[in-house]
Amino acid sequence: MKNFKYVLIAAICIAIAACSKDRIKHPSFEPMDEFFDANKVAEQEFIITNEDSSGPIIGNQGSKIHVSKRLFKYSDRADDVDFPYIIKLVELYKYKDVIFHQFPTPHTSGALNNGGEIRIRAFKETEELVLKPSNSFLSVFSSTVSEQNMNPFQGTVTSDDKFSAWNAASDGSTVVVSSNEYAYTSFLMGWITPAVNKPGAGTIDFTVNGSGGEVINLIIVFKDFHCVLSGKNLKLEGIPIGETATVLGMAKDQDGNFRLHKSDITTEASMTIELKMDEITEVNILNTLEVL
Amino acid sequence: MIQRLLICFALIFTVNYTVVAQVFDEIGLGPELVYNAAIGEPGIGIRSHMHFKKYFFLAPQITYFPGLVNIHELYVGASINAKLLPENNWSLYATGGAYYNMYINYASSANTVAKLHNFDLEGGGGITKNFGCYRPFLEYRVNSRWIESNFRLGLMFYFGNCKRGRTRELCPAYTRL
Repeated sequence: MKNFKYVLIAAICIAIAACSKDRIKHPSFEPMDEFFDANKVAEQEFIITNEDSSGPIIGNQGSKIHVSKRLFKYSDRADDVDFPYIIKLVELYKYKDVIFHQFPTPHTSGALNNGGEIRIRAFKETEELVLKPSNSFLSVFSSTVSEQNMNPFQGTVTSDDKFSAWNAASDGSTVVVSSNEYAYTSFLMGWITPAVNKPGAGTIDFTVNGSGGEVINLIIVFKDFHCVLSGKNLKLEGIPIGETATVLGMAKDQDGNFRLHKSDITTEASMTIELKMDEITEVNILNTLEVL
Repeated sequence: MIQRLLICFALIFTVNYTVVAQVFDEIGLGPELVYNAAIGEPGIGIRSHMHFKKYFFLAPQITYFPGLVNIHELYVGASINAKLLPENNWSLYATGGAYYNMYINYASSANTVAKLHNFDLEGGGGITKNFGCYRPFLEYRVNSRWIESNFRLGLMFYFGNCKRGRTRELCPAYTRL
């Protein structure tokens, strides 16, 4: 009986040591904005030293921007802008770049089927310039033409430069669609996209095992037209119905591991999806987004 | 699937009983209560203790966790056990075995490597008291697949021993073949 006591004590000690709760311990989710910021495309800077060096500015993803010094002015005074000045350009064509930049293309009545998003800004040193009244500049998008009825849309941002909304341009901006390009004439600096509204009133509610699900970045990318919609709080809204799409859920867990849900769906008016937030390496999550 | 596994397991103790009875010194069969201490999950099981070479016994077994708390799963396999005190009424033994694990509700698991079919190695030890016809046991094991420990409390019936002495009438239907 003495041995029995020792064995029992030893067993209890080992039992306490061998108590992995991995099968029932659900993760708590945390945002992964740092990851998005670390991987988003860099803003390109073009220093314009004289008018002769103009011709279109060509971004590294093929966007062509036609600008001239005479178009710009300071926002608060009438002084002439001198050389050199700087054009800054962000190009978002690939789904992964839209996701990393967290600049989706929803619209008040659905989604925007778009030909890419670009942001053009002009600076004199660190001071941002604006277009003179009634002046415009031309941007030629490098995306493949897939839609003939594109309209000009302008993006707005929050005070901390995050995505706010896309609005149909009402300032005379135009989009001319030719056989191989979208030519966008803009009367406003900043975010622009040639797009056509894709109405949608579908909603997707998400469930997930774990706490903090409201911070999970929810993303839907469409297969038959170019659009990324995103959301948080376990809900996506304004979804065009009957479309094939890929749904992503991305977050970090309490241990700093990346978690990813990915599934292919056909959208319906009202859906519920249970997120399976699998642990994934940073390399694999990058590879997953690359091939969307 | 579960039904087929149960049938296969039952065959070990029925169809092949004649054969195994000739190979092993004595054979016990009995139920057990199982408690997965790591995740607080109760289960039930049935097993056999098939003794041979004085120091060893083989223990084919099946364990079912019905998911009363979280985990719904099934284990089927066998262990080889070494008796450390073979001559004593109180017998300590070390156990090591291999098991097939069907993790039925794996989809709701927090563990991202969880899947339906798994292979599991388990090791541990136990103690049993020899009362002849019936022998209670308490066993402790750790599984390698999920790194979880479990306790097993069971009662083995050695029907061959029941016919000798006063307990004979308790088990009249069984004889040692």
